[in-house]
Amino acid sequence: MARQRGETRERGRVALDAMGGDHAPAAVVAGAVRAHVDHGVDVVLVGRSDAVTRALADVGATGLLPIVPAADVIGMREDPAIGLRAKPDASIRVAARLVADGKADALVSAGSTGATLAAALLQLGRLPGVRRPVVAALIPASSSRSVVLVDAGGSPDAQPEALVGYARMGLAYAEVLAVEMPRVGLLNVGAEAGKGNALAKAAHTLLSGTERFAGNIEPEGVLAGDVDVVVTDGFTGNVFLKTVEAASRGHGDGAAVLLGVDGEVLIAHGAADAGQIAAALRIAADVATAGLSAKVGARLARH
Amino acid sequence: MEQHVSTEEVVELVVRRVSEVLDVDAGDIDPGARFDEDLHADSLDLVEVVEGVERDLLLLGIRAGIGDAELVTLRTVGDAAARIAASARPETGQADDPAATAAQTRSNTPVGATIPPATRGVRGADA
Repeated sequence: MARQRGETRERGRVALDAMGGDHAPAAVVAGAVRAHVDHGVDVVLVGRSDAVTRALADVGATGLLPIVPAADVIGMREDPAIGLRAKPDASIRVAARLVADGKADALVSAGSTGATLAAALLQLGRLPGVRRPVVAALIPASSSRSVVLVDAGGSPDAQPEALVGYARMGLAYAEVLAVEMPRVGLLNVGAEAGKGNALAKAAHTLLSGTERFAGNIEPEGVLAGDVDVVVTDGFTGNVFLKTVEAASRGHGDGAAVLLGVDGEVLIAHGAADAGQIAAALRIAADVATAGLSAKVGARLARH
Repeated sequence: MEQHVSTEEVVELVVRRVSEVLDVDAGDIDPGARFDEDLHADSLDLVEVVEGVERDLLLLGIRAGIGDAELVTLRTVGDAAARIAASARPETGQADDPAATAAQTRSNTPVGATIPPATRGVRGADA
């Protein structure tokens, strides 16, 4: 079931959902132009032709980047899965299909995270043994390295069993990032077992039987780098991520990785400006060149 | 109305896809299993299962597709199978509906014609 790859180009072409994000398509297209001009990133813009063409013209880049037309857009308030089913020509689904068809090597969107996750799952499929893909963000720790946060915002209402899967994917990602014998902690309001809400307690029980589980961890411990992977539900994880970013007055590296799908998918901030979109596109090109999802899949198969 | 595929055959396809999507043993999935209460499936799971079965059927030369509004009303595994079976038509080569779009995707292993023996199980079902 090998994906058809483009034979005449280098890996690293990125399909960008030009309609996704608070400032789309203007900031998104401007970011794509910047990534291409300044860093040579090979970008394909996916979205409404007239709007994307106009956005390119607005930054003096008419004809600079290829456009793949997609007539529809999934709204932020729409049920992502039903929306994608109803709109097969939605920009995020068309962009994911380009990756599935081997016409691009990575997908980037600053639109609805739920829609990106759903489009990726429906078009690319999951890695073996993965129940639901998870959004992984890197939290800068006070030590010289980063901590992998899963779920950083993909599924707000997770079942406790899902967190066990997140831990496996987070550990695999940490190993790909060259962390030796990574340890995983469960984000909580206290270190002792039995702390937290019903989800945290149930997840603690389930995680206690898994490898490399270091128990509960408080936010302070995460920022101190006491673990390599921190696991929580997507709602709590997104609040934690946004709190860390607000406290550091920044938006981090501009993109989170979707783990567990059979392809490279990056999620940029909804409020991303052109610079952050450009940064996300560079990361996406690097991730595609490195073949991150295949490496995560290989490590998942071992655990 | 003539049916182009039996509900029982589609049940097996649905069970196989539910097993794959929800990471549950196929033997533990009863046709009476409810998507929400028993299987804890959300709308994305449901769309994945239905599009997967639509792809499986297309490989068998059968086009099936249920509407978005109908999709959210599916209650059980057997319910989904019955409605998919009722929508089935011979494939005519036209590629302008969700089933055809879904069939263009590369995700998941096609079930094809190798359908496992019928499964029985009560886990989670209202046995």
